[in-house]
Amino acid sequence: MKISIHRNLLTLAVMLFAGAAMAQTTLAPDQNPDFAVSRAKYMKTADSINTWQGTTAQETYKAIDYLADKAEARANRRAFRQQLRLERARYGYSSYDWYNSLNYGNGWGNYNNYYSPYHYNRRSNFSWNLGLGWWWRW
Amino acid sequence: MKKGLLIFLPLTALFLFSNCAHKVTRIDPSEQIDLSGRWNNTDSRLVAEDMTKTILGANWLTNYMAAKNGQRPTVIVGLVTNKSHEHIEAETFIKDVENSFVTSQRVRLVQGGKKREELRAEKADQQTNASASTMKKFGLEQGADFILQGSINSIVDSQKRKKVVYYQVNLELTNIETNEVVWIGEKKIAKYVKN
Repeated sequence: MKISIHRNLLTLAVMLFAGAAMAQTTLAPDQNPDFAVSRAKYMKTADSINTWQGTTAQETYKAIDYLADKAEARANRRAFRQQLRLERARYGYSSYDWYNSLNYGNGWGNYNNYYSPYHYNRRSNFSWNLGLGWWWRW
Repeated sequence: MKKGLLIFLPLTALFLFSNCAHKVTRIDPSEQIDLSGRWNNTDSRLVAEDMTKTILGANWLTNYMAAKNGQRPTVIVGLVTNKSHEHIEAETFIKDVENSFVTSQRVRLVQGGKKREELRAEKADQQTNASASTMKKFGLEQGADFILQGSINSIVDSQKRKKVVYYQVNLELTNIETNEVVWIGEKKIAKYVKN
């Protein structure tokens, strides 16, 4: 009884192995015999890659556009001013160098700084120094 | 005098409010309305019209059917890459192309991506919850012969308040087994915008 079970199991194992081997070696005409290497590689990544099917990958760039740049600079200026007002309301008006604390500008009334929102036009050397330094110091 | 003012002021207020009020009207989707100069529904429609017309009339379809004894090809929609300067959703025109496949009955379309995942999940659910006679089997999906992929590119040339925007939309149909590109659809749109 035991011997027959062992014999059956052995036959089954041989058949499975032979079937797998047949599947591996049966090539279509002109098929690359090393195709299994690539198949094994892509079987691992197929699920994650295929989830993108039917979607649009947004790889947009920022175009050089005078009006769009101007609008963006205006929005930045407004955000900066609002932030400045909030900081002053929170910590008082004249006790601190707010421009330097916000990392904008390099001193009172001097807006010609790369990080300043007033330096909006990256293709221009125009300075936004409004000469208000004396006023801010009061 | 006072009586006149009492009548005049509410009337003026009513006139002003009626002019400022928010108003929405339904329009024909095929009507061309350009507001900002950015990508809009008219551009999407132009791309869809051009692509659907050319993809079903191109040689790849007749070649395939001739080689496969009149069998219809099966197509899956792949990834479209937007490399332009604007956010553009390709689904607005890809759906029109898919619709033309289904309605013309000349091309078979199979689901891909997240929708296919959902289908498989539903099938998995049926394995334990549906009755044996209605349960759908795994491993009987229709394999795609071709994949439709695409790209959107743009060039912007601006000077002060004038701008020329050029869009190029490309769709490519590739044989999945051989990687052979059998069809390329192209639509070019150029706009002159003056602010």
